[in-house]
Amino acid sequence: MYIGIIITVMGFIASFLAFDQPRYVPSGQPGPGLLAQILAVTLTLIGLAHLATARRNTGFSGRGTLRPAAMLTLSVAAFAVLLRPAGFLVAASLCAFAATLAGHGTRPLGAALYGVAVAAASALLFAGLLGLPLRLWR
Amino acid sequence: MTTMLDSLVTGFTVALDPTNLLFCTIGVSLGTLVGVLPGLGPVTTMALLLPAVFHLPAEAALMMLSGIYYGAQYGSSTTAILLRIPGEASGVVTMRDGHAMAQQGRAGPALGIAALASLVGGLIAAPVLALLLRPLASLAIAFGPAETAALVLLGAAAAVAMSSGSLLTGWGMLIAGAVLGLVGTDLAGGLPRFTFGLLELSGGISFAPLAVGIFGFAELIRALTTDTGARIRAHGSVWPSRADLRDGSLPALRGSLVGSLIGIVPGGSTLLAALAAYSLEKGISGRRLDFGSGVVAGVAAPEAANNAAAQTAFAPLLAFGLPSNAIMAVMAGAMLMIGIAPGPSVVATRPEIILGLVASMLIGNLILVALNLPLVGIWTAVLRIPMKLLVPPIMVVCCVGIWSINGSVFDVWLLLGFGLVGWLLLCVDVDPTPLLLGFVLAPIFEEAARRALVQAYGDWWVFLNRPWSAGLLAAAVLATLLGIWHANRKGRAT
Repeated sequence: MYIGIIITVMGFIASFLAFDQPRYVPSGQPGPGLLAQILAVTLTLIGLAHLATARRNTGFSGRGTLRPAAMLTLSVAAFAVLLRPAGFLVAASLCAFAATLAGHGTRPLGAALYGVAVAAASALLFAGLLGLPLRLWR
Repeated sequence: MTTMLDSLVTGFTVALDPTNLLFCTIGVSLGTLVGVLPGLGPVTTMALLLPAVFHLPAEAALMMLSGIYYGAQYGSSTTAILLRIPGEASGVVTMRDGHAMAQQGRAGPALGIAALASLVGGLIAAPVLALLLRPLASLAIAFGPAETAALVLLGAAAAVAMSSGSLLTGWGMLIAGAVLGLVGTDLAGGLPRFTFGLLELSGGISFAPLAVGIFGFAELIRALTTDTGARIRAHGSVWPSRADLRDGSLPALRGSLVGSLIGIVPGGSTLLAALAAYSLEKGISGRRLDFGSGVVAGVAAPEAANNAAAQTAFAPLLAFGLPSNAIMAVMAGAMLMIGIAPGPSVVATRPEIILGLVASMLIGNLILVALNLPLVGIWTAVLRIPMKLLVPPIMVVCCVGIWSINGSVFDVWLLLGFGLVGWLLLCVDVDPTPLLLGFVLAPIFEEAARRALVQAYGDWWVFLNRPWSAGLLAAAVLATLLGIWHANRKGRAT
């Protein structure tokens, strides 16, 4: 049932945006709206069909995954937020630190040291070996 | 015959030149490395190396760049098999059975079969490219936009038919992916589409944040959740057994032929080649119900096909100057930079370059296997490292790889968004493979369908009036009907 809801919502949003687009451009060629509208309507119909035929007891089995999901979310967010203002080494250290804490039974000090080691090795790989234009620190 | 032998000798003389051999080795090694690192794909690497191309001899430059391309196809399968993170789009197909084999403690044989099948694909595709360069490229030109659109639909239908969930969910995921694939500025009207007014989305969504987010992020969460400290142990040898080689040999041969043919078709990507080869094997196999649960043929066929297609994709570029995908476009740019205009004239005036390139593909594939087979044991050992230690470097590599594509932090946020979608799909037990395929195929389909309609003055019958197009559409319908029949049968069986 949940997937039916997700598909239907996506279909409605896509339809809302797609019907703003012209199906044909002034020269008579197919425009940006043609395929977009066909896909959006089909997506909505599939979502509704899914909802109509779904069994209500189809469940959500994500409760045990909340901790790793939250920590990995923090890990990516830390990298995205810190890369520009603080540089690669800080961003990668915190990214790896949060990702280490996603596993069970990890102590914060060990995670912090591991994070710094991972960041240093990554800097060596990406900036040293592959020559990516990374700013290592601010 | 003498001419053919002369060509062969000329090609190998050029390819075995120590400088050319060195750059071919550098190319396949770099290709394997970027294939293994999610996000940092061959296009980025080739683009980064373009300034270096200026300083190299023409043959060495082209051999290195082509080595990156087909080396990346192999490298992609390593992370797809071990970690369920495809480095390249074509790795999505190998991932299904390859990762299932790894979970059963057979990562070594899966990697070995992938390497050997890639070799078979490369060894078959290179002579195909050399012998049939002109006639095959002519056929590819006759393969118009209507046929390309129909081929894409067939690929989509096959993808949904082979997905593990219900057909309705599969089509829903495929179309949701197609909608995501249309995000960006429309090429015909120049209007932004599905961008929510965000400037960062005007260039579209990159493949890497979507693939790594949907598959990688969700897989890491699943692995951390189920990580009990007990490691996946390898059963028996890390090398493929005789039975594995027997099971994989014919699928690899068939996959090589399918891949060689699809590679020369404009728009026929390595992903489509892998998909077509996988679907063919599933269709003709007596064990089709086992596909997806760790079947050797499910690794051998797509791996042979994607490597073969990576090589024959050079045919339209070399014979007619038509780049059939983004990588070939970078290749065309590199050729122009070193003063070679890709097209019929280069085949006539600089045959040593073309023949040398083809011979280097044969040699490069042998180097790939020599490099990668000894590494199978090391790659397999990756699975013995506790997940909580493996996840942090993977996260950093994914974030850097995705940032490096466009130098955009927005892409890292996209990774996070798609990661959460992947997690939701994991929680409701939905296979996201069709979503990724829809994303890749939608822009190809739209461009081809639009061109077909323009050429036919808006007549929609163009897709049924042309025999190849009609045949491919019929095959797409057949694939869907087979999927329904299979689903019903499975339903009855359970």
